[in-house]
Amino acid sequence: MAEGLPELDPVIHGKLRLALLSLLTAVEEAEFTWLREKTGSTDGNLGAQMLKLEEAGYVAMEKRFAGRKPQTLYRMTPAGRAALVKYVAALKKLLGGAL
Amino acid sequence: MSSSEQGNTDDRAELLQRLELMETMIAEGRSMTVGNGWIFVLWGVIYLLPTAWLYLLPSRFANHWAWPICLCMGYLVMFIGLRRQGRCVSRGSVAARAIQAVWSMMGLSCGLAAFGVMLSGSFVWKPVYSVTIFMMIAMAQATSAMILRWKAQWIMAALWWGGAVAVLVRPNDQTNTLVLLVEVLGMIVFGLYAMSLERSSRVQHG
Repeated sequence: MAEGLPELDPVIHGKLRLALLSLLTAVEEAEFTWLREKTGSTDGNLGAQMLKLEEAGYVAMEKRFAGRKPQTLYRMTPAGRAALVKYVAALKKLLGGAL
Repeated sequence: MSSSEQGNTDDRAELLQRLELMETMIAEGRSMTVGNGWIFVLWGVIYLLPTAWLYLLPSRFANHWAWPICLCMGYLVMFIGLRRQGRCVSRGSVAARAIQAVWSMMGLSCGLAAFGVMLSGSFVWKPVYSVTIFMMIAMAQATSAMILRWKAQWIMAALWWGGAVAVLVRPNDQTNTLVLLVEVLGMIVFGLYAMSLERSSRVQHG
């Protein structure tokens, strides 16, 4: 990448992780199964990508019970939101006049 | 084109793809395609059941129990359906919660109105019941339409309001036909339309 141009956050830049964070910006919290349905990913891949986002502090995970059914819920953290805003700004700068 | 220019074009295309992906996913997260069209179809059918029962098998029992039995059945089927659906649905945005609140409170009000009529000891349908329920549905449709900025729902709100006023001003012998027409258009036809939109949205987004 040319000097002076912003770096894109590698944690967010992954296609599936970017899709997941974008989905989470629109909702307060989302179930694992809903995210899987919307992204069309597999359980294993989704779990691995969510773990990466969680380790980066961009999403928070909570396990609950709905009746007897366990639920895994994710929500975007303020750090995740800030990182996504920064990512979009960097993306727009890189694309320059195209936008 | 040199290899560096080719590389730049590829990078640019990939970045644009990322931007497009974000837009699609944000729109997907905001969309109300939770799949509520079936509820309209369900209540349209539930309305037809006691009407058909009373018409085809009139009896003292049917006069008193056709409506309570069918309404209870409707609430039960809707409750089971919503519970099944709730397993894979996100906790949506404030707008989604607002719409859910409007419709669930409208459903509760209709249920309480029907319960009150049952407690009165006679469940013979009167035009004023249709007017009350039509007005409640129209209000929920209009509120939803305002939140979603959805023209089709405004048309439905107008249909229910118009239906309610028409029931009051038309001669009594035309009431049943009018109520039936509004119910079929406002519930079954609108429900099927909403379901078709939900299906095409699912196909579009894979």
